[in-house]
Amino acid sequence: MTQKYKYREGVASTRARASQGGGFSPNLRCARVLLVFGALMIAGPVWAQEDTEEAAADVEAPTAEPGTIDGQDSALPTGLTPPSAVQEVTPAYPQAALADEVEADVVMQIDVTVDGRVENIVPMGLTYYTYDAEGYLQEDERELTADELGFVPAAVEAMQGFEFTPATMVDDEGVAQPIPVQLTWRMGFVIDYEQVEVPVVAEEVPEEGQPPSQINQDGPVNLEGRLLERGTRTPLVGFIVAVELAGAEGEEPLYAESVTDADGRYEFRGLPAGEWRLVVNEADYFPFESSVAVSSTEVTDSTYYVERNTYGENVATVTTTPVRQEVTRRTISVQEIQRIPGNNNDAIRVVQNLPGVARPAFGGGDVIIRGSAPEDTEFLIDGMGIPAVYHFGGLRAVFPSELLEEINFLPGGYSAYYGRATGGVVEVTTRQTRPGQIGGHVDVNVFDTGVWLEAPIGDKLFVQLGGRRSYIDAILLPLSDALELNFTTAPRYYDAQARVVWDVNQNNRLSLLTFISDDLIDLVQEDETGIDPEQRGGIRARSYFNGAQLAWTSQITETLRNEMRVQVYNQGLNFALGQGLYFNLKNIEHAYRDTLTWSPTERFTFRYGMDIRAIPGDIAVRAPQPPAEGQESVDLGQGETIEVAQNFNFYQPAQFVEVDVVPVEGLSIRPGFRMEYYRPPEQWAFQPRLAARWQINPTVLVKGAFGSFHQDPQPFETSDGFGNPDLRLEQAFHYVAGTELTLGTAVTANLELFYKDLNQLVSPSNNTVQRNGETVPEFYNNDGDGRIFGAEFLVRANVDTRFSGWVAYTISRSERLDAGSDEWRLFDFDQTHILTILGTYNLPKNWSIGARFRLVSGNPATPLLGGAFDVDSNSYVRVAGEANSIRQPAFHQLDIRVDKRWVYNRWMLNLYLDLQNAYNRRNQEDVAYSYDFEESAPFTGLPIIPSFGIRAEF
Amino acid sequence: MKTYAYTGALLSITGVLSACGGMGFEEFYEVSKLRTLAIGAEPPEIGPGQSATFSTLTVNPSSDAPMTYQWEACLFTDGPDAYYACSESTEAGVAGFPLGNAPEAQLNYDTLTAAGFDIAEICASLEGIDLPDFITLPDCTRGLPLTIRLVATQGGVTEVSKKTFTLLRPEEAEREDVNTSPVAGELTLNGQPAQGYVLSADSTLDEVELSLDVDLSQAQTYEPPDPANAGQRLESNVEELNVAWFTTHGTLEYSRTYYAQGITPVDELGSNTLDLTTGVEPETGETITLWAVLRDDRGGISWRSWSFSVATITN
Repeated sequence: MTQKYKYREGVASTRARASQGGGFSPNLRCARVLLVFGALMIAGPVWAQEDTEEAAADVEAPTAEPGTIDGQDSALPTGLTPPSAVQEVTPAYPQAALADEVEADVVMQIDVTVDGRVENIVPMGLTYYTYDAEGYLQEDERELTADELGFVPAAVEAMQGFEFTPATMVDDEGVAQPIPVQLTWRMGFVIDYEQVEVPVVAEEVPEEGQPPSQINQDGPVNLEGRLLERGTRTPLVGFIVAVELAGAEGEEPLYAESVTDADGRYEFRGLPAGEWRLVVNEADYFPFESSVAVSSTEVTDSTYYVERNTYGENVATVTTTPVRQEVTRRTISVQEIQRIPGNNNDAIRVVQNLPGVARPAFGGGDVIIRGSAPEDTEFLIDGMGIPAVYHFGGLRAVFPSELLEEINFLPGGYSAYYGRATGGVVEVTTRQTRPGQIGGHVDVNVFDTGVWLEAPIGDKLFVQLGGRRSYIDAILLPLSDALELNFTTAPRYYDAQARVVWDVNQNNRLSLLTFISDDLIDLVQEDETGIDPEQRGGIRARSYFNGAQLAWTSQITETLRNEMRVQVYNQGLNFALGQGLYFNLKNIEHAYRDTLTWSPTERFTFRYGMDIRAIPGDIAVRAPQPPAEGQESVDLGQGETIEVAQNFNFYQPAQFVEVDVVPVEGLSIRPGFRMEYYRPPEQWAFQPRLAARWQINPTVLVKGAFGSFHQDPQPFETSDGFGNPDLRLEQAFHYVAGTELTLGTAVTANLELFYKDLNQLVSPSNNTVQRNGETVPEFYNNDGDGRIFGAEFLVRANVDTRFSGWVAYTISRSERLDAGSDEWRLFDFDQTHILTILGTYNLPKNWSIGARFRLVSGNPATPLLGGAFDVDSNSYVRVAGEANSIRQPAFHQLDIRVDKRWVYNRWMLNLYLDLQNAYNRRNQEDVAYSYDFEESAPFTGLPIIPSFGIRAEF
Repeated sequence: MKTYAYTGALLSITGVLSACGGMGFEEFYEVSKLRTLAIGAEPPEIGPGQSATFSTLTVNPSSDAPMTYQWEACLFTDGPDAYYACSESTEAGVAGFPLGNAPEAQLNYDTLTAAGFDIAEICASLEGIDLPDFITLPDCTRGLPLTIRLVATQGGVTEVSKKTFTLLRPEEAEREDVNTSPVAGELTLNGQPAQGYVLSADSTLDEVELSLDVDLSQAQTYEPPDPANAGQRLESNVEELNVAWFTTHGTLEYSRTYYAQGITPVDELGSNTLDLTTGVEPETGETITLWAVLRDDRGGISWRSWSFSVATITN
């Protein structure tokens, strides 16, 4: 999101030009600095150019306060301080231009480094100014190659000598860290003429009885209003509003300017009555003009809406180096990803496009990280566990994208802050930025309709409310006769969230988030003849949770900060197939997390935390033994049905400590230690962690990490009826090494090598054991092993406001050694090659187009060699070959997305079309077999699927 | 705590069954090649002093070539991936024994016992031993379950089938509710006896009503043993019956029909519809064969077959 700051320079020169009958030019000639953070005010000296004439220096530039604006401007990140010039160089005025009385503006794009130096000066634009015979200013915008008079090299040479205090961003520990930024700098070449009359600022007292014909700077305000961005209603801060009143024949026109304040307000004093022409002309916005009738006796209040050139959500020219606690943390802003094709506007699903993440079959929601199982991935919201991520296991995320600010993807070697997961972590953070005004949207798409509303309440409070409800049921119900299905309840889902954030004072913030989610399908077949009586009664599946999270963030002292979170949610899973099979789970999770951070110096941070979960509940199941990873599915009717009903009470406290040390500039080391306890199985886990990052130079960073991680078995694996209550924790060791390259301001590249050593994996067993004096099947033991190794490449690009995208490639291998086996086999989700190329391009007139191409190795599969007929069940039992010894064909697919936005004064309308599988590739996801497994045919995935949606934002 | 992985797996189990419909494969009830449709044991279970005769419904409408049979009785098998071959493990005692190569095979309880095959001893010895990974501990509550394995071969093509057969403990064999095989009556087509019937061209060939006569008293009432309390019985059950239908031509509305007391309609078990205008359509005068395999839920099984034809087919 781009906002601008206007920094006026050479005001005297500008006014001198106007006094020469230069008339009114819609292109304002103030030298200004463009910052893409937001509206910021910079303190700085007036810059005056030198030439053969003395520069008038009696007009001050408007002063401003450095630092942040207290969250009043919705687009500005809190804690940002822009750079300010401490050394400026006056350019040499080209002699030929001076002789020809030609003035100019040169626009340059510059990088300001973390030590305040100027680099990568790139001329972007050039405009020549001359005066015609009548003295009106003539503007000539020209190509850089048409700079006959030499303004561009003079400007570049001068720019090289500039020095700045670097821009800073306050990190999570409250420490301002220098960051590189990119600016657009306009350097003006203005000839300062002597004996300049400045009629626009002259104070003249009108003769008695005569109407005032000049502007009275000390007069009352008689023209004021607000300048807002069209569509978003965001106040435009630091914009120059210029007004001009044409004079009578022979008279000079009157001209005045006002700069909008933090609320987008402008005001003019003492304007003579008349029909004034109001102009706003700022970079990245369409020129705006309007007429306004001004009265000398009344106040005219007018609000104007200025439209941006582009409303793309790319974070364009800002290059920030986020403070990293993690060796590998891929952070994606929600705004950046909402237009990625193939994601159904689902922010969490974009993680599947990152390197190291395997592709789930049928577009499901599983996140399979670096060869680990889906259940080895921990999902967190603000550090607390999420009971479920998607509706119906993969359809839509249970939390809307609007609630989220960032998605952090941690594929390995993560800090001691995270635990209970041996695979990886996906953490979403809720929006922390206070909205500047009431806003929201209504979103209608093929899956559901959702509404979102957020609003500030006073200066210290803001609320967010959201809700979605699907309407698949409304579509299916009329079709139920044709499908011969009788839906007691057709598939439907809904979710809702409410959040209140209260800034108690400058150092304390409280927030309360409540949430609810519910998925349900309930159907029976009209004619159940031919269906096993045990399976009659239809299918019913329901998944729900509801709860609340309370957070208290406190900056206790300048160096000491505490963050405490408490979360409670109620969860239920119910599944029934006829009368014979069911699964009913109900539990209440209580979670507490507290993190104390002490940063006495910039180079040292100590962190201590507690992370406790308690989960009482009960489970009742009647079903066949579920297949383990690597095993083939079980056909109903074959195998034994097991029945279990029991209570459980999981208790999992944990503590961690870690230190961030910067022994020398550019090198950060983070040793940590996490201690966990699990009951069941009443086992301690001690987990050392170590990570290091070394910024060798501004371009190259190397990094590495090592860590030990534990995870408890799945609940059914330890249940009395289905599993082995004596199972121990699974363990993994992560080894990560890599490098990051910053290639200019638009491109970053990342290479990482990883190795995971898995042991004590839960593995199926046919052994028998003695338990409570009885010989019983063991079902599972901890004799499984795993090993995963590979490399990831990621290149990300954000090129100005128009384009963003990335290329991600992973090559890896994931293997398992089952209990009792001597041979390693491929993991079910091993995908040797994963290539994802995606990009979004913003076109003019608020169009954007995006594409995503994926090329992925097929999943391993177990060949079926035939079948043996089981007379008892009247069905064939599959005869399997070597586990995961063949591979499905490679997958490739192109998704395309087109967005169009219509911008109105107070709202915007977005329409999108998301075309998944654009060339209708019939990717094989599995193999279908005949009843006796003697014949097979490809079982392909989804064909070309167009989905569309429309969103009204206000 | 991660609970959703199991729910996902359970849903995938139910999904497998439905995944293969509409893929162009033959339906399960279509018989066009060598198939074993059933293995019968008479009586279904034996106790001391009894013998059982095993027979098979192995058919091939496409070939008259001679078939060969190989019968085995296994205590343990190497599982489905080995086509249920009798296990070679000797640690558990007798692993298995051949039953001959005739179309039928016999098994005598006392002959086994005399050969050292003591059921009680075997069941007791199974507890506590370290079984190989591919062997599942059998349930000895009522007796010793054996796997009867049949390999039928014709013209180089082999069909492997297996059935569970229980050698009862003496006390179980003496009960009055010991299992007997249900028996089906006659089949009618559109109300006419099926055997030798010729469907006229005026018949509605796309909706041939099949009605199998099954006396519902064939569903025995029995009291299963309580596995948690030796010597105790659970409350009485009524057997559930089912008919598996097979045909050489046409398509059937139901592959299987059921009777479960209190759940299914009483006339559902023997009712089906045959559509001779879809699937493999018969030629004029061509013989169509139907089979019906009747089972109870305790291993009892029997079958009947009928052949009929259709008069002039007008395409």
